[in-house]
Amino acid sequence: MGVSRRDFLKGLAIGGTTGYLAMAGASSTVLKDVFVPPRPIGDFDIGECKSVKCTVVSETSWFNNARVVQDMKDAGGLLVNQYIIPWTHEGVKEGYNGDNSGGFCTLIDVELMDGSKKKILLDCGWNTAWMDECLKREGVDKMLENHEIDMLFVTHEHFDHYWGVESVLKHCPDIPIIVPKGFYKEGFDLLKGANFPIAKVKNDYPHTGPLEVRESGKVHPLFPGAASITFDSAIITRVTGEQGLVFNVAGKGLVAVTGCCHMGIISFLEEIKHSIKGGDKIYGIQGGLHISPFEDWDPQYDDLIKALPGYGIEILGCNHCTGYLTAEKMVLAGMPVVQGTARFKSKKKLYLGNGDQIMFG
Amino acid sequence: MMTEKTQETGGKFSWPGFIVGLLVGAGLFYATIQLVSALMFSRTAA
Repeated sequence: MGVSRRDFLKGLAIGGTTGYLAMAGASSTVLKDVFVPPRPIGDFDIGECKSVKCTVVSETSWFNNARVVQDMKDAGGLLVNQYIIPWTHEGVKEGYNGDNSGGFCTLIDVELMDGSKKKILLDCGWNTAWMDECLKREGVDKMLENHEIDMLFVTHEHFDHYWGVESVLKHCPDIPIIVPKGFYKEGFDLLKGANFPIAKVKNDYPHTGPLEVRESGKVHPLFPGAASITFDSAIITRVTGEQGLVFNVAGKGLVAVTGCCHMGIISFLEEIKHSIKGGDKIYGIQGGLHISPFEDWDPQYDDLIKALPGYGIEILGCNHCTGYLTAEKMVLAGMPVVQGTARFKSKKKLYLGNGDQIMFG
Repeated sequence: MMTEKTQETGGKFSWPGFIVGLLVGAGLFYATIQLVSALMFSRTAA
């Protein structure tokens, strides 16, 4: 004899509940990859290069942490437009001739597979007097005059990475410049020769060369073995967008070179891993990792220290906004942090400082 | 006096109902997850 409609519905209800809960359990365990498929390793082929050498022209963006933080607070906080903040340029004991501003700038020498060379200037610092001295110290001024540097790659519009553009343009006004999507009108005006008296930033050498604005969300090839990725990052002091460089060193793996890495080092590495061919092997990193730039510590930063070793990085060059506190913790965690020499106003040997070099390949 | 004898059919567990329910429940969860993930990863979602 068949079952009644009522009994069938009871079975249906019990079965339905069981099936729903069982599927919920299975989807987060044994069937996890079916429900949330893992993102595949990237397939964008950027080619290969033989080696990448980074010379730290300047990583000391400012000389007194407390002063630069106070400048932002006095102006109304971290979201105030950087061009209307009266930054401290005198009376700072640790500063460069009393000026608290320094700058971030890295020279990248790339040897291609055919033996030819490419040079990229990554960022151009802040204080033009300081940058003039740094560029001269590393011979970059002469390289610019001889048109040996292929491009100025501006990672983002922040004062300490971009406002020293006059120091570059006075030696080579027609240098090709690449900026990320998100640059503000003031940034473009500065290139044309604008003056911002409140922030005390100016450029008396208008740019005459090609200017490229790189869109976010895709890989932009530069030359064989090199590419860039742009992120729509919202950054303090009203800056938007940041880009980083990626190199594929033959036989070694990928190398990520950053300015400040406001997009987050894990986000940057994940984007590299899942966009670029060979992304399963991140060989090295160089640049600011933006973890404890003001030497403060938040427990969430510990997660970064725990996550980074998972990428199998063999050479970890870092400086600037990485923070000495972060470098100490990374060394304690057994990560291959490359030490510096603490010269030219870089304070500690914990990471690569001004005038130091790092080689990949 | 005549009494009508009725067959008792209530209180019996329905395995066919349970199986159908199992499939419907699992399908419902699958559909929910697909909808949520489509919305989460949609570039046009607000």
